[in-house]
Amino acid sequence: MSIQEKIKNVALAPLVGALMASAAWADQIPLTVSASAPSEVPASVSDGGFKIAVVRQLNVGDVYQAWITGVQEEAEKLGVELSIFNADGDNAKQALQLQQAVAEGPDAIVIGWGFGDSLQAGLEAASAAGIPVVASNASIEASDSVTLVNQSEHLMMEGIMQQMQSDMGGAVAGDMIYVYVAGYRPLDLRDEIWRKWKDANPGINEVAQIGVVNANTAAETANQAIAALQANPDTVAIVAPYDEFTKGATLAIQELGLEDKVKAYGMDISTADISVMIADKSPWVATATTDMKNFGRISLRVAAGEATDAYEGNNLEIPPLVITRDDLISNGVTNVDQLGEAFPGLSTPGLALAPWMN
Amino acid sequence: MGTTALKAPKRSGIEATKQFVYRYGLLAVLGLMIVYFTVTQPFFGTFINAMFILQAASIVAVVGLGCTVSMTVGGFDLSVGAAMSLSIMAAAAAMVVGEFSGTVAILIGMCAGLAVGVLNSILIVYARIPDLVATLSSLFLINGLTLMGVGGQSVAKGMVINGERTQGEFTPLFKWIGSGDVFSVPASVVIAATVFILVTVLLNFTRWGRAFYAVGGNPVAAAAAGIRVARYRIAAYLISGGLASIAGMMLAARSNRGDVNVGDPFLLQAVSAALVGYAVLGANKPNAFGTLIGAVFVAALINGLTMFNFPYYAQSFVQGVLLVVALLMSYTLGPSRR
Repeated sequence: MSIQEKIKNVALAPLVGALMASAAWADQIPLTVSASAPSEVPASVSDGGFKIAVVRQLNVGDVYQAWITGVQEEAEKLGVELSIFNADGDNAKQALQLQQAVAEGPDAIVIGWGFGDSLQAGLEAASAAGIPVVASNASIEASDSVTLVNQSEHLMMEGIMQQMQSDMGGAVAGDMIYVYVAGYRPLDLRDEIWRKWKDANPGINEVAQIGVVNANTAAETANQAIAALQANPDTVAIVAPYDEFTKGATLAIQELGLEDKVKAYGMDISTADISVMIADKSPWVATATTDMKNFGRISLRVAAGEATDAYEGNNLEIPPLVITRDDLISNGVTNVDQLGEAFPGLSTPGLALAPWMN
Repeated sequence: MGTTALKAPKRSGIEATKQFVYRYGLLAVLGLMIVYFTVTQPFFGTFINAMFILQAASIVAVVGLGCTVSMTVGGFDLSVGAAMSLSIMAAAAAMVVGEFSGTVAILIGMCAGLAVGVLNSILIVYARIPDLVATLSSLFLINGLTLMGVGGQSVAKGMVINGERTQGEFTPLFKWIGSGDVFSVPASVVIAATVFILVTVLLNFTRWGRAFYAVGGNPVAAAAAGIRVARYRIAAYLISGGLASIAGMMLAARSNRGDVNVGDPFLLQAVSAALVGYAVLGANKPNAFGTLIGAVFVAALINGLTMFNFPYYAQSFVQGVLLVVALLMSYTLGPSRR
């Protein structure tokens, strides 16, 4: 049973959701630094030639660029050699690249996004070769050889919905356009929370569901959003929980000049996203995020830790932060580098930090 | 005309070098590149890495061979990526939604590709729409149709359609295309090699092959010589669509999913391989061997550059450089056209 199936099973039974979730995810154990973790830099690292392969499904876009920058920074800090594969969103290519990465025999592998169905052969090969795998934001099951690193999608979606509730003065209601594409683990998880809110707030009237994921997501989402907004003139909000979606939604609202009527609630953050949010009259009012660069950093750190037997458990969730347009403007934030100073909650320097990494 | 033909060509050193570069330049660059990567990256020259390169090249090669056939009749098939996507969705849906066997899924996928060939043939041969615009419209038609068929979703095990979870999954036979091997040669490489041999025999060693090139060279003269031009053009588009569907199966079997519009980038990759192929052995025309080299060249280049951690956007740039160099060889160094 794949993770997605498990998630959907959980979603089908919301009443016993919590109960089932704990049962269905029994093979996931929260990651902690092991008491027996090496305290000195292990010889395998200090002797040089300590290599981690990074196999990315998606590489075009601000989020992925920020993530890989974090990976590279942490690798440099820890003295890790990197080998980076980019699949350009082609799952067949990523499947082949994972097998190639395994064949090259690195000390650990980080998978940045991807589907378990496609990567099965490579994951089995890695397990057989004894190479630990860290699945960062990927739809892959945890196991003895696979450790998951994810942002907490549920808490992120919960965060922007609560922000919307406080913006609306307590009751969430009105015509809303929802942007969603099924089959992507983060989006599916966010969708669970959206449905929970819809069930709990009958005032939410989902007038249209739009969305597309491809190499041109923002622009095509914008086209769909323009059509949906014109068909539904009473729309008060677009819920677009992925930054390429939010950029598209924002663009659509701006092109139609509806900034005063329609707000966009988004997800993720990058320098380009910040400039969109702080622009004059931007309708993108709130976003929930973990710092993608920090996410990349943690992913690489966990891979290095797994390769040096530093942890117990196989599942790490990075806590998110809700950031509003007003927060950004009042703190004078214009890029992701300033984000860390303005919102210290974003960087999680102690997370999964093994003693030898200091 | 007569006097110029009698003049013996001046065989200066420069001319000889030009001739050599024109014929063997690209193969020499490929050889040097392989030597360089092998020396600098020990893993590059291993058998297993050679198989990774050929696997990476196999899908582009099969689509590219289809493009090559349509280019021999003077056509241009812009719909190969869309035909691939349609076949992928049809085959994936057959297994995941329809719960059919792998064999049936492959047949359904191939029929989908041939159907695109039929559509193109009707538009081009009977409706007399120029190739480029006809196949451009099929590109959009087919991509739209594919998305309508699956409601814009990717087809994967456990997907939800109309609130119902599907029960089917990719069958072992189908998966074998993507991950199986024959005497440690991956199945996709074996399939691509078979397609290459068949297309080479068809184009270079049969009467039909000569007729394909004759139709592309001068359709009026070909018709005057008794060649049934319409039939050859129809055959070319059917082969193009059919090979796109085979490439689609190879792709779906490797990813074990039917992803939305996943065939799109292969149009440009395949056309690029076929165009690079013009410059191989000074062919200066669409040819099967050249297309194969074009596909392998790019795969080897990306494989090697990845080992040097070249960022993905730089890889795209280097691929552009390769195409320009190949085009310079066939158009600038090649015999002047009239």
